[in-house]
Amino acid sequence: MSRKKPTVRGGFTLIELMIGTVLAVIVTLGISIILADSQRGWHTMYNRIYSDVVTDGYSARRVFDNVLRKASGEKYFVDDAGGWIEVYYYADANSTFVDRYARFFSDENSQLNVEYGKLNPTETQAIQTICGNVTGCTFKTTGRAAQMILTLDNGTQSATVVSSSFMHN
Amino acid sequence: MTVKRLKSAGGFTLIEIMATIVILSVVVIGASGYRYYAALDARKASMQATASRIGLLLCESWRGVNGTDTYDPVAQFSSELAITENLNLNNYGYKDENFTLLGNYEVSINSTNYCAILSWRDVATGLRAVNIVVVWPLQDGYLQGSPYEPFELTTYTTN
Repeated sequence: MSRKKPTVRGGFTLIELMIGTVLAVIVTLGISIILADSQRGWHTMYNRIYSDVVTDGYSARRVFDNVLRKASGEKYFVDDAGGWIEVYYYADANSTFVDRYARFFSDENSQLNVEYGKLNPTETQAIQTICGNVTGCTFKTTGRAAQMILTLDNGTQSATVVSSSFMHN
Repeated sequence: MTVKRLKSAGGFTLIEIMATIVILSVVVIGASGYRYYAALDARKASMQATASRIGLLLCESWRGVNGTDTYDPVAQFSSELAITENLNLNNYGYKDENFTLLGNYEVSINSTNYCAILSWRDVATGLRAVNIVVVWPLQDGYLQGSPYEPFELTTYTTN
């Protein structure tokens, strides 16, 4: 009678499996924490640069600066409560007198708008919406400089934009 | 008598699995490092942009009142910005000796303290140069003792 002797079978021992599992858990946990932190940081930075609140603030500041820096410092009007500002500027280099106006104001739809128009006679040419998510907007002046304090909020993120521009002409 | 040897069953050895984990870890940690440094650089850029905006804000406002030496940014912006005059801050070597110091101001935005150094100089009759240096730490926290970066702006105004 021949008796087959069982030989060593391929596979893992219990000890190997336990070591492997512990190592895998440790590595997985470590990688997960790193990935989660990295993702959170990335998301935060992305929102800080590209969220609609930030891009709205950027647009508002750019338009405000562009208009105010070509405006005349001799004459401007600001709402007593700071709700709007109206400035005057030359249409182009050939203009011999101030012949255009721009009026910044926010509306009940949480939008910041600018109205452009001609003077003498006064005629509205265009009203443009600069940005949304506006929850507060105040204008004030200091000498020949005007300031815009804009509060933006989209429900998850808020930002306050403070911009000052010197009226050159 | 012949003894049949069992062939090892198909699968991975512990060594193979460990090598795979190591390789995967290197790849994942490398990718995470790339994203971490991208986020860090974006934050540094954000701080630099904020500092430049603070400088421009103060510069344009000061220029609006013809660079007067009675200009007080705290009185003007205290309701909109966390701005205080801080006499204890030094100038970090960024105020030109030929300029007269108006004041050192601390502006706190997004947990970062920016130090604005305002100074002026009459370069000719009726012409004044106003200088603003904004200094901020590279790391979060207080300015003192940290590595810092400067942003400098000089403009001219009639007075």
